[in-house]
Amino acid sequence: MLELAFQQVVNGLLVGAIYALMALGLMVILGILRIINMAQGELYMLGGYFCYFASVTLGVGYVPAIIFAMAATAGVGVLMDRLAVRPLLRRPFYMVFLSTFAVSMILENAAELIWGPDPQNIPSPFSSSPIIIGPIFLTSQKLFIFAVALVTIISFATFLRWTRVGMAIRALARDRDAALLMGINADRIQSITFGIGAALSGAAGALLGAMFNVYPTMGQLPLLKGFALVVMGGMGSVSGVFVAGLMLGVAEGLTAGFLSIGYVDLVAFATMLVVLLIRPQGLSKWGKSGV
Amino acid sequence: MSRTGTWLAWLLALAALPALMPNPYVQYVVNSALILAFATIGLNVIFGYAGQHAFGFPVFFGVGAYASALLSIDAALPVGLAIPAGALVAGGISALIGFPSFRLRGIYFGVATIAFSYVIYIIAQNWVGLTHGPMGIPLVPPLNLLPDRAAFGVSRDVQTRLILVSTIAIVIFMLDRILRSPIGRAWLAIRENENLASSLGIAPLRYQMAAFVTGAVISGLGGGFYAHYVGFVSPTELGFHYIGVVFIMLIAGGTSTLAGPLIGSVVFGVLPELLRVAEMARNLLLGVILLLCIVAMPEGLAGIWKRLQAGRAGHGPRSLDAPMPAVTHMAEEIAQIAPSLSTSGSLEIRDLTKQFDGLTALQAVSFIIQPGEVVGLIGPNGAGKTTLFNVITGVLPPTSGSVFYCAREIGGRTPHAIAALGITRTYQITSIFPELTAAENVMVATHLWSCHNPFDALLRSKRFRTAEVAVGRTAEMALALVGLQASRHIPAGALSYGDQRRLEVAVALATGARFILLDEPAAGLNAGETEELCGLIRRLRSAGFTVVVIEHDMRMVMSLCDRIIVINYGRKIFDGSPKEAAVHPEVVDAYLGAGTSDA
Amino acid sequence: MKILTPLRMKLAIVACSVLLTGSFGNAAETVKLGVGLSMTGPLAFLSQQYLQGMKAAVDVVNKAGGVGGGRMLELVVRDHKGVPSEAVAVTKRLIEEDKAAIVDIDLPSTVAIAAEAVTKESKVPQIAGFTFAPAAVQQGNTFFFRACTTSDLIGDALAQSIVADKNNKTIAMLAPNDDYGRSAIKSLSEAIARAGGPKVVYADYYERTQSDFSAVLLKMKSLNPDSLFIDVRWPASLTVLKQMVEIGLKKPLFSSVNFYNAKLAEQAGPLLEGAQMSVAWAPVFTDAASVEFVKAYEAMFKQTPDDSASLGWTTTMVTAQALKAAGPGFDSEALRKALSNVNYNSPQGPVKFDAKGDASVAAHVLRFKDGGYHLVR
Repeated sequence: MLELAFQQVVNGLLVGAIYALMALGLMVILGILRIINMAQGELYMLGGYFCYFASVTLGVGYVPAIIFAMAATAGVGVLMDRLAVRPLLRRPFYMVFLSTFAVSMILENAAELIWGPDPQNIPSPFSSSPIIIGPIFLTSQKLFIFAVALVTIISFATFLRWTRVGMAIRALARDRDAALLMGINADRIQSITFGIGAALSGAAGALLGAMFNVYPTMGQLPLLKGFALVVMGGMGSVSGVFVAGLMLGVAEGLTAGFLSIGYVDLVAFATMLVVLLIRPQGLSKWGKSGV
Repeated sequence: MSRTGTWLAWLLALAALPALMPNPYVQYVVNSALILAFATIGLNVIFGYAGQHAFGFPVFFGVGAYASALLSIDAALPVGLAIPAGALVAGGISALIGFPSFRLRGIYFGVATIAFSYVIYIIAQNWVGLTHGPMGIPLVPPLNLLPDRAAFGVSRDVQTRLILVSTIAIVIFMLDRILRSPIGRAWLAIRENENLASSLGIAPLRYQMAAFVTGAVISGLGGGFYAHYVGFVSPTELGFHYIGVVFIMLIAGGTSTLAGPLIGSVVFGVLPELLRVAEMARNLLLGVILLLCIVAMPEGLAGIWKRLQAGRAGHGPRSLDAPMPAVTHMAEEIAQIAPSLSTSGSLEIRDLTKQFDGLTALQAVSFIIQPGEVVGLIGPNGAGKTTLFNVITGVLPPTSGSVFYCAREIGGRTPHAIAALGITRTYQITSIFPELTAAENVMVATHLWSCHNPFDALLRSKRFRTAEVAVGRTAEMALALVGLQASRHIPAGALSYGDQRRLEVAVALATGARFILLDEPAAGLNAGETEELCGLIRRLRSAGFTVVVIEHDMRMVMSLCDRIIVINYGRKIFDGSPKEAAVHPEVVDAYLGAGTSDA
Repeated sequence: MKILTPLRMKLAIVACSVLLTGSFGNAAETVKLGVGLSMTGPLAFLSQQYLQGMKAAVDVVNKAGGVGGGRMLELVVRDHKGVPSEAVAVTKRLIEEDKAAIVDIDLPSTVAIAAEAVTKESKVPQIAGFTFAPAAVQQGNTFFFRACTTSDLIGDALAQSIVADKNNKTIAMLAPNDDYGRSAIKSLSEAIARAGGPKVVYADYYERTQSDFSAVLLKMKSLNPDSLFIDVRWPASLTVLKQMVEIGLKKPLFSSVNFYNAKLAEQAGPLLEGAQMSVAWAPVFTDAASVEFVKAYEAMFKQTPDDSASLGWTTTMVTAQALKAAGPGFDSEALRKALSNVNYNSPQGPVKFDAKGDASVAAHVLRFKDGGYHLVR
C-alpha cells in the first residue's frame, strides 16, 4: 500500500510539472494582461500538434520539435492578440472573454480540419523499459519531460525577474498607466506577453502530447485545471503555481489509485473549491480582489 | 408603436411564423432555440442585470432537465407539474451553490461556479442509481397541451411552441415588473458599484442570491421543457457544450436588455443548423461569425435593434423609468425630499481603535456628536479621518472600542444594516453608478424606504404603486435641489465632475437618512460651487439633519461648523469650537500652520 | 464599423429563411439512407471506419443495379458530435430536408436511443449497426431494427474464454465511463457470474479525456488479479499497454474490439501477445460473406477493413435487401415490413430480426498470437 502510494506520488509529480507549465501560460496572460483567455487550452493543443507536425511531417528530432512547437504557438498567440484582443481593449472585460472563446472554437475546428479528429501519436525516441529505483518504476521519457518542464519554468521565472523585458512586463501588470508614463510600449509588451503565455502552454501541450497523444479537444480540461491552479497558487506567483501544479498531479494520482479514475478530473475543482471556501482571497497575497 | 405593442407583435410572429413552414425539422430547430432562450434569459438575470460573472451558470438548465425527467418518471408526476417542480429543484441547488460562491470576489467567483458545474456533471456521470449515469434517461414523457384526440390536428411541435412562447412571455413580463421595481434597481446597483449599493442599504448577498436563484429557476424551467420535448436527458446537458452555447447567445444577443437573450437565442440557435451546409467547418464558421459580432456590435443584436428604431440613445437599461411627476415648486423643506428612516440620535465613539497589521490608523478616539450639529472633522492627510468614517459606516470593523448610535452598538455591523439606521455618507473619490442615469442613481438610494417586496412588485399592488410614486417624487426633488433636473436622463458616468459631486449629495438625501457623513465634498470645486455647498449644508442643519464633514478647506470649515474635531496620526487632539481650534497650539502645529486666520 | 447595416440585416434574415426552408435533396432516382455519426469527437475514428464500410457496400449495391427499379442507393451523412440533442436535430433534418427513406443514427448508443423518439413519431425506419446497448430495443419503437450484436452477447462470448482457464480466479476491469463501457462491464460481469467464473476484484471507468493510466494500472497491480479486462479505446489503448510495461504489470489480457486494431498491433505487437478480445468481426473470418466484403473494401480503400467497417457494410447491405424487397413506390410501413422479413448472411453472422427488431448477432472471440489475430470462437 505504501509502495503504491509512493509510486503514485512520483508519477503525480511528473504530470504535475506539466500542469504547472500549462497554468503558467494562463497566469501570464491572466495576471499580467487581466485577460481571461478561453483559448489557452487550444494554444496548449496547438503546441501538441505543432510538435507532431514537426516530428512526423517535417521529420525533425524530438527536442527541436518541442522548440518549434513553442515558437509556432507563440506566433499564434501574438496573432490572436492582434486580431481578437487588441480591438476590444476598451470594452467590458467579458467581451474579451467571449472573443477568446470564439477563437477557441475556431482553433479547435481548424485543427480538426487540418489534422483530422483522431488522436495522433508523437513518436518518441525513448524506450518503454522501466528504470527501477527501489520500489519505484520510472521511464527515461518521463524524467526527460520533467526536466524540460522544470528548465522552462525556471527560465521563465528568471526572465521575468532579471531581464528588462521581464521587468517591463511586471510593471505593466502592476499599473498600466504608470508603465506607459515610464515610456514602456504597452502594445509591444502586450504582444510579447501573449506570445510568452502561448509558448508556455504550447510547451506543455508538446510535452504531454509526446507522452500520450494529441487530439483537437485536448485543451478543454487543461484550461479549467489551469484556472484552478492559478487560483490556488496565486495570481502572479510562479513558484505558487508550480507547487500547486505538483500538488494537483499528486492528488490526481492518489485519487485514481485509491478512489476511482473517473473522479480524477474532479480533484482540481474540488480542491480549489475547498481552498477558496477556507480562504476566499486565494492563496497568494495578490489575490485579494482578483481581476 | 408602444413597447408592449412591439413585444406582442414580435411574440406573435415567433409563435405563428414557423407554423407557416410545417417542416418538422424547422419546427424542431426553432423550438430548441426557444427552449435555450430560457437558459439565456436566466443567465442574463445574474450576469447582465446583477453583474455577477457566474461562468458555470448554464448548468442549471441541465439540472432542471434531469429533475423534471426524474420526477415525471420515478415519482410519476404529471409532466405539467414536473417541469415547474424541476425548475424549483434547480433553484434549490443553485442556492446551495450560490451561498458559498458569493463569498468569493472577482474572477474567483466565476471560476468557482465553473468548478461547481463540473462537480454536478461528474455526479450525474457516476451516480448511476439516480441519474442513469452516462447512459442517460430515455423515454421521458412528452409534454402535451392537449391530448392527441382533441388536438384538431395541431402538431405537437406547434403545441410546444405555443407553450414555449406563452411561457417566455409570462417570464419576461414578470421579469420586467421586477426589474422596474426596487429589486431590479438593487440588482443594477450591485452590478455598478457594490460598495455604494451596500452603503445605501442594499444587502448585497441577499440580492445576489435572489438573482442567482431566480435565474436558476428560469434556466431550470427551460431544462424541463427540453427534457420533455427531446425525450432524452444525458450528462451532456450538464457539460461545457451548453455553457458555451448559452453564453454565446447571451452576449451576442445583448446583456441587460429583456429582448437581447431572446434575440440571441433565436439567431444563434438557428445559425448552427443553417451552417450545416458546411458540415465539417461549422464551429469554425460559428466562431468567425461570433468574433465579427463582438467586434462590430458591442451592444449585441438587441443594440442593433434599438438602432434600427429611430431616436434611441441606447444607453443603459431603459426599463427603469418611473414616471416623473412635474415639481411645481422647490421643496421648501429639505426634510420633505425623503421620509426619515429613523429618529435622529447622537453618535458616540468610545475608545475606538483601528489597526491594520501593525499600522494603527485610529488610537482610542472618543467623541460624541449630538443631533442637529454640523461637525467638521479635520486633520492632515493620512490622519485617519476616512478610516473613521469607514468604521462608523460599517465598511471596516473596529479593532477595539465601540460605536453607538441612538445608544445602540453599531460597531462591526454591515454597511447596509447601518444605513438602515439612518446614517449615510459620501466618498472621497466620487462614487456613483456610472451606467445608470442621474435619476436612476437617486432612485436606487430610496431603497430602504421603498416597497421592495417581490409580490407587491409583481402584482403592482396599491402599496407598491404609492411607494413608486413617492420614489419618483423624491428623485425629482433631490435632483432639483442640487440643480441636476435637466440631466436626469444622462448616465452618471457622463456627467462632469462637479455634477457628479452634486449627484452624490442628491443620492445621500434620497436615502431618508438624517445623519450624513460628507467626505471632502468640496474637493475639486471652485469658489462658487463651494458656496453652494455651504448653503446646502446650512439648510440641512435648519432641517434638523446632523452633518459631519471631512474637509481641508479651512475657510469653509470655520464658517460652517458648530464644532471641530481634529485628528492627527490617529489620535483626537482637539474637540471644540472653531475659534478655539484656530489658536490651539497642537492643532496649529499639526495642521493649520502659524498665521492662519479665518475668513 | 457598421458591418451590419439595417439593409444587410434584412437581407440576411431573408437569406436565412430561404436556406432553412429550402430543399436540398435532388429528385433524381436515388433512395437515401440518412446517416448520423460522430464525425468529430472521441468516436470519430470508429465513425470514419464505419462509414467507409457503408460506402464500400453502396458501391457494390449500385454496381449490381441498385435497389431495384433502376434506383441507386445514396448515403447522406451528417455529424451529431455524439450529443443527443444534435442527434435529434440531425435525424429530423435527414428525414425532412434530405428526404431519407431510412436513417442510421449511431455512435454512441445514446444517440441511437435519442433518435428513436423521432423515428417512432415520424414512423420512419431506423436501423442501427453499431448500437450495442440492450436498452435500444426496449423503447417500444416498431420501426427500430438493430442489425448488430449486443453488449450481453459480447459479454457471453468473452466470458467463455475467461472461465476456460481454471487458474483464473480474480479479474480486474477497466472501461470508458460512457454507456458503452458501463454496459460492457455490466454484461461481462453478469456473464462471468453465470458461468461460475472469476471474481471481479476491481472495476473502474475512465473519462474520455483521460490520457494517463499509470495510477489506475498501479492500483490494479497492487491487487494482483489473475487476469485483466482492459477495454480501452485507441489510442489510449497504446498508452495503457506501454504503461503496463513501465510499471511491470503483466497478466493475461482480455478486451474487446478496441484491441483489434492494425496500428495497435503494429506499434505494440509483443505487448498484445496472448490477449483475447471479443469482436463482431475480423478479417480472419473465412466465410463467403466476409471474403466478399474484404475484397470489395480493399478494392475501394486499399486497406484491410476492421470490425467497424464490417458493421457499416452489414447495415447497408441489410438496408439494400429490404429496399429491394419493398419495391419501388414503397411507403414507410412497407419498408418496415420488408426489414422485419430480412434474412441476410452478413460477415458477422446471420442477420434476422426478432419481434423486437433485434438481430442478436452472436459475437466472436479473437486471440492475438505470434503477431497475428486468430479466431477462437
